[in-house]
Amino acid sequence: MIEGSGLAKIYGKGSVEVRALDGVDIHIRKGEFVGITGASGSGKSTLLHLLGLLDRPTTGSLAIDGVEVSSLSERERTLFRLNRLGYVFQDYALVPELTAEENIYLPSKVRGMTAKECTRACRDILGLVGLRDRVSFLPGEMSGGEQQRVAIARALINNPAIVLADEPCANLDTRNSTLILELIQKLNRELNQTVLMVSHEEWHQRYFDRVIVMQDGKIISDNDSAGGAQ
Amino acid sequence: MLEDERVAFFLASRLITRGNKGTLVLTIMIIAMVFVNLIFLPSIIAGVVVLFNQQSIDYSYGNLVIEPRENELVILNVKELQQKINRIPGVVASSPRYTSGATIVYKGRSASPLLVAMNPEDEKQVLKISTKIISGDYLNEADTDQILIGKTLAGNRDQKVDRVASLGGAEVGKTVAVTFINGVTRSYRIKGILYSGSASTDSNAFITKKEIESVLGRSDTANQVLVRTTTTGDENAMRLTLMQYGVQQQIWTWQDKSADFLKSIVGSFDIINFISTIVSLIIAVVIIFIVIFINTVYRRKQIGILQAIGIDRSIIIKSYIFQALFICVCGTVAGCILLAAVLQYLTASPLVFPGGPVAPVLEPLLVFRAVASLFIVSLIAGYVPSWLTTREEILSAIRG
Ligand SMILES: Nc1ncnc2c1ncn2[C@@H]1O[C@H](COP(=O)(O)OP(=O)(O)OP(=O)(O)O)[C@@H](O)[C@H]1O
Ligand SMILES: [Mg+2]
Repeated sequence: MIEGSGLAKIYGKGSVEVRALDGVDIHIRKGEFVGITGASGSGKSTLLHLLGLLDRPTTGSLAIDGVEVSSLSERERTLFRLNRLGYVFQDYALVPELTAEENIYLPSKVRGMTAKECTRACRDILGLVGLRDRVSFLPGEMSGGEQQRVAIARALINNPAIVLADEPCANLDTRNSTLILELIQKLNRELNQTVLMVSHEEWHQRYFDRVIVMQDGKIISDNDSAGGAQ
Repeated sequence: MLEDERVAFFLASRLITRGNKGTLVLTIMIIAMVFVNLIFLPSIIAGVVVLFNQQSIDYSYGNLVIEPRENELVILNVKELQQKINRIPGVVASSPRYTSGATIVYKGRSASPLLVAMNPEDEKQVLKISTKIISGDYLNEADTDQILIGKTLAGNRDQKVDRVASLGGAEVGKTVAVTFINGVTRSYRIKGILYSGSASTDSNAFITKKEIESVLGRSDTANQVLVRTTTTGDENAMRLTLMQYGVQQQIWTWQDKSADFLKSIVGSFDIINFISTIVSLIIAVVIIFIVIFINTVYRRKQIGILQAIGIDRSIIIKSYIFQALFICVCGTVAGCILLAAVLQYLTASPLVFPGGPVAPVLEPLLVFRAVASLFIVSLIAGYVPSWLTTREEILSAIRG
């Protein structure tokens, strides 16, 4: 699913250069629920941005879903993100003027789905994330946990190969965090959805199939049950 | 590709309907006023031109002016020519005139106006001077010792009020002494005072043609024949018709005669109008630009996230162009309503220019030009700011 090797991201030049990512090899298989943790500044977000095609590595190669992504043009990368990736952000990042439903089906509308198809797909997913009664609520009318569930639904609408989540629970209390984690676990188990999630909370780790620990831009531990690289 | 427009339209419509209404309404009102401004002044100018044109026709020239052949001073056998002209289809009437300089003295004040000698009945059918007598009466065919003078020429007792040399407040019933070009001096009683609003006509003096013929000792001559035609607007065609019917004298249209005068007026109006149009359009661009720009900058992070989840930059730009177009369309509609109100008001209480009330003239081309320029303005003012904001790296936009 994801094959990255020698991934490095270097900011600045010469004496002020920052090695945000310093030669990371990462291999993730379909259906895995992977947690990335590590101290602040260890490069977790940087790695996720590279895997999410929001940034380009300084060096290294990366293939996602069988596509060598470094060769894609800017427009192709946008399409790739639309069609094969689902992104969940720390602060939900919904469009405040769109209802829950509209926020969710926006990415599928871009792919050319008709309004009818959009609505149907949307209702299914809202059911999945347990927000069927919030269909026409605006983000401002929902709690943080509810907004994050809408954001997860939006990430899922286009049936992505992989869902990337950067600290999706950082702004939520324990109860809501648990709800989100259980939801992601359910998606992973029931839909066989591949998920890569950044978190630095110790207690989140029991939900992950596999935990990657980072430090100073390097992976220092990976409890890959299947043996990591293959 | 049309999918993109559909999504952009969807986004734009939601941002408008669920966004800040206050700013939206304010912006639309400003665009409405710009629209009114783009149309109002030119339509008034067009109205003034129409008024001046009508004045030229009604008080100075009729539709066509026949003058002596080149190198000749007068038209001989005028009666015959007049009969010939009057028989031509499309001609309503014609009026021979003999115009010359003269010196008029009243109570020691003298002025040298253009003295027009005409047949009052013929003149009545060609010009509307007879309807503009503000005191006394119009001339009769038989009048020999009476004179009609324009209001400007009559002047005021208080000389400071007069803009040109006048007779210092000559009144109906008083007597003036007129010295003709051949040196003959005769006395005339002022029969009427004329106020047409046309500056040149109101400075003239009028006597009968019969009288000038007795002064100059000539008959059946004129140096001008004014012609009224059934329709205004095809003077050039009528000019050719007259020539085909054997009129050998020089034939001018009223446009030829008043061209210089109108050109100078329209020319200076055009400059004012141009400046006003440019300023209005700049205001429109700046306002829409600022509104869209603040909007996109405020949503910088959101725009970054939309791009991150795979929504192409072009869709976002288009959604802002749609918003700008919406502002423009609403502004235009509101502007039309505002304009209708202004025009309504002006019909009820018209602007009065020297020469009469001016009705604004709404030329379709003018309206089209205003709509088109606002359309282009909103395209630019929607495109540039959203292009600038979406140019930013997705990551730096997301970080905020
Ligand atoms: N645009 C940038 N320019 C320079 N340095 C950067 C830039 N972005 C990130 N870095 C540096 O790269 C390193 C890794 O940053 P990153 O955001 O990946 O850390 P993180 O593990 O996500 O931390 P946190 O847990 O605080 O979110 C940090 O030292 C950071 O200062
Ligand atoms: Mg981070």
